[in-house]
Amino acid sequence: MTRDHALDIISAYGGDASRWPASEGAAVLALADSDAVVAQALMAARQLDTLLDGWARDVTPATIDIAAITGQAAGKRAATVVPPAARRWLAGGLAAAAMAAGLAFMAPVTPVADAGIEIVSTPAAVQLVTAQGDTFGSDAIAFATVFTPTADEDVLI
Amino acid sequence: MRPLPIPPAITAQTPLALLMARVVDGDSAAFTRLAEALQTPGLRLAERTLNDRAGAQDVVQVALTRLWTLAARYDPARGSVEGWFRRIVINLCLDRRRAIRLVVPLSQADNVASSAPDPFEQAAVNDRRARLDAAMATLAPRQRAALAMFHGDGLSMAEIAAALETTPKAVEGLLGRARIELRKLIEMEPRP
Repeated sequence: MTRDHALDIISAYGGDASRWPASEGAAVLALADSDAVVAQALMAARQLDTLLDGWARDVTPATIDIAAITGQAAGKRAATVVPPAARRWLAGGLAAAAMAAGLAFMAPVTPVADAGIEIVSTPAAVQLVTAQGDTFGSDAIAFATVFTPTADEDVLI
Repeated sequence: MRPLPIPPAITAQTPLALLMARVVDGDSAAFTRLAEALQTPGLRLAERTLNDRAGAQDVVQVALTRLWTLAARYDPARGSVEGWFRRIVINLCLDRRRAIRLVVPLSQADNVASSAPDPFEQAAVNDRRARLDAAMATLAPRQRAALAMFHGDGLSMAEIAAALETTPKAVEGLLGRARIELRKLIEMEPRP
């Protein structure tokens, strides 16, 4: 166990040894006994833990209007729920459509011009990322990961 | 024709997975029980992630509505009901992240007065809490969500990773950076 590794564990998991990875807890505590830097980090982490435990748990209870959800959303729910048999056909159809779209999207089309010059086309997505740079591509992926459609958008999807 | 089996009565001890199975079939009594079980942890997580109580209530209301209207999409093979609900709450919180604003500016945190009867200790507690609240407002919502799940719900790195749709290693980094940032912002001095 190195000092840096012990500090990483304390930094990520805090000062409560019971939350640390089981295989490394004893080694971190042993190092804290002999290394003042690790010992100080452990003490500071425990102070912060106390504050964070209070922060995370201290929330005033509130009541959500559950009856309004089941009442207002009844019609929408009925429209959303698809019978199991239809669901299987729908899933099969969507999978087939996705596969067809994927093949059309991925396969490079190489039309040959009248003059005998080969024209190589590039998939649209590759052009987009290349044109905008890596940053745009990463942002787009991150947005897609966290984006949650609204209830109305959900119906469209 | 055989009579349909009568489902067992819903009690406070009915497991959430069983409640969810009945919610999928449109059982509103099961949904009420499920919502009662999920709303408090959902509110805690949303309030901490958004740093906004009113916004958290909106988020949980919408999340429970989705749980009810989109129940058929729940797949028990992909995780627990609590885990699925947690993901819905976090995604809704992150979608609202542009609306998040500082609750207490850091510059004002030094001037928070205490009205508690035990002036010295209570003032110190209030001061630390005010500094923490102000520091929290500067963290990213994902960092607050990870801290809330780790400290409030006692979730493991793997459970937090599932809720945030990332890896346990990435959660370790997220929490580590959050704690370092918080310590800098509230300038905690370790006491001997």
